[in-house]
Amino acid sequence: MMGRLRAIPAYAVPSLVIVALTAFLAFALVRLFQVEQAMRVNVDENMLWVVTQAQVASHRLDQAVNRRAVGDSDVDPELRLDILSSRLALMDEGPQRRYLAAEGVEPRLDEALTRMQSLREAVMAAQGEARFAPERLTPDLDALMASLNRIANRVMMAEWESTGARLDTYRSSLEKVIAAIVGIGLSGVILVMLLVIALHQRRAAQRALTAHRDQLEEEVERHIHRYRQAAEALAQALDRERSVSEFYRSFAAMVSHQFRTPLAVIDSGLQRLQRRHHQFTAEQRSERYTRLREAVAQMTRLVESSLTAARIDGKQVEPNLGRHSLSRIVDHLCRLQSEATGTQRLETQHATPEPWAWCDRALTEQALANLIGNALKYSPEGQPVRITTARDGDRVTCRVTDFGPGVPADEQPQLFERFFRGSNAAGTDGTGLGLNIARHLARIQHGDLTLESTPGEGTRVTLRLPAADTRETSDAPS
Amino acid sequence: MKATRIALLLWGVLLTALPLAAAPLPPPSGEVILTVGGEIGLTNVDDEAHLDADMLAALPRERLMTHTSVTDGPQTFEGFLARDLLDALHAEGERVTALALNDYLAEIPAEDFERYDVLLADTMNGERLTRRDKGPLWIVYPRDDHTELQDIRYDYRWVWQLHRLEIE
Repeated sequence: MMGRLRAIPAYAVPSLVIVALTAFLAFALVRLFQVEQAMRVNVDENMLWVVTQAQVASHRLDQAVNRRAVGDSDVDPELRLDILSSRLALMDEGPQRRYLAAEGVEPRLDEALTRMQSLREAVMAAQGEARFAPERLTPDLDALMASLNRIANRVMMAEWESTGARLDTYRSSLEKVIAAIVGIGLSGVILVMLLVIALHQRRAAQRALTAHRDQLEEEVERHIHRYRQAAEALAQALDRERSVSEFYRSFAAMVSHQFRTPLAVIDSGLQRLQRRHHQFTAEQRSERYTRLREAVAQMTRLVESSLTAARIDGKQVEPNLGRHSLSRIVDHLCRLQSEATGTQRLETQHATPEPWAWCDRALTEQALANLIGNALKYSPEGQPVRITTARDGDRVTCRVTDFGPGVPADEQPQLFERFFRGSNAAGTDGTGLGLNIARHLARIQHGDLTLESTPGEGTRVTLRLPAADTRETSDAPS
Repeated sequence: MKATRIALLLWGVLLTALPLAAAPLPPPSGEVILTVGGEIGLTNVDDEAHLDADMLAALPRERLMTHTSVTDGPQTFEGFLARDLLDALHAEGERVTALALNDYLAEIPAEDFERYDVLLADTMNGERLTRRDKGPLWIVYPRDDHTELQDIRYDYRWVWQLHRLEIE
């Protein structure tokens, strides 16, 4: 069904309907015009009046003739004769004569005209009062009146017939016009229906098109997303690869740079012990062993620090953030330090309420251990190292203060550089990595590390970490 | 006869000059052809104007060719304009009642005469209209010049055997 409809062009049906509409309209207009014309052309309607007036004129002539005969001088038979003559002359004119001929009463008209002529001749033939003597005029006048009577009779019937026929024509024309108007209406309805259907189809097509486009867009979006993810994964993988290679390179660099000295120290010490083994006293030997062990210990520390630094460089360090009490971390570190070295120099002072930090406990411990170790190392024996914790806005801080020689102002900016060692540090063993690592560890946890130092008075290092109570912490492991 | 001539001449001068002052109309000397009554400024018999052939002939002559509803082919009419007659008589009215010899009566709006050159014809195709035909006067509309006049509502105003006008 749909297939067959599709086979004819889309505009065929509307065109047909419009043609039908035009045809109906033209037909209706032509019919109406014909009716209008028919109503206008009605010469014959005048005819009955013409004949009747002729009859009246003939009767008035008859009346005048008879009144004159009984002596009435007010009547004017001559005027009446002229008027009757005028009426007959009118009937003798082209249009009137043709009409009467068509109705088959032309002989009657000729008869009347002949009688009129006779009347006129009769009047002319006499003189004075005798001119209008009834006995001379009546035969012709009677015959004339009879003819007019016949004509009037015929004209009346003809007019009724014609009126009836015209009404029939009007009716049939009007019926056809009405049919045409109904046709026009139906055509209009069909046109409107076609229009509505076309609009409906267009809307449906538009909807389908929109849906299709949306679907396509979604698909494209999905593809793009997938490709972007793949690209990101690739970039991450590449980054990781680069980091790993960076890790090995920097580790190798550090090893070659830092490890030779202690290894050389150990090697020469061992050579000396080997060669002069028997020249040394037991005490001297013991002292040399101790120094060698210290060198090994420094190397161990160096390896650890280097690994940490390299891991940081290679982005191998992932902080495991949680809610931790900074004061407890400090106390724990101090206890460990005291147990390991027997020192009594560490003084702690904690803020109330307890400062909670959002941090990785192990990384924070490592950073703080570096700072405390530095403070102990670079200040004289007998001077305390003060460690305080506090809350500062949305951060928590831990300050490590020593009373050592301090760092000269021109060296302070370089202190956080890797392998930098201050001029005051000469004579103490160190890697030049501690502060650098501590700052990295702080930054990994969204914190920071700063240093203020006054030569001759001491140095204060401040670790800042995000405060825990500004974050969602309820389910965080501690 | 001479006095009549002078009177006629005067009447003619009055007509052509369209005098505003009402001068007395000379009495008819011949057979009265048209009687005009009603709202007119000039009269000669009682309060009517009785006009004979000479008096009517003094009006400006006009010629009109037209078809009629009762004859075949175009007809040439001669006569005078109804408008000129009414102006000459200082007629003031909205309606003109035309009467024929057979007592036919038709009421004609006076504005017909203003709008159209309606002729009171006394001659058709060069022949004088007589009362045996449509005479003495036939009201003729310029039917061919104005299609709106080809209408039965104007046909009944074509009064023939006209002998009297009443101005209202």
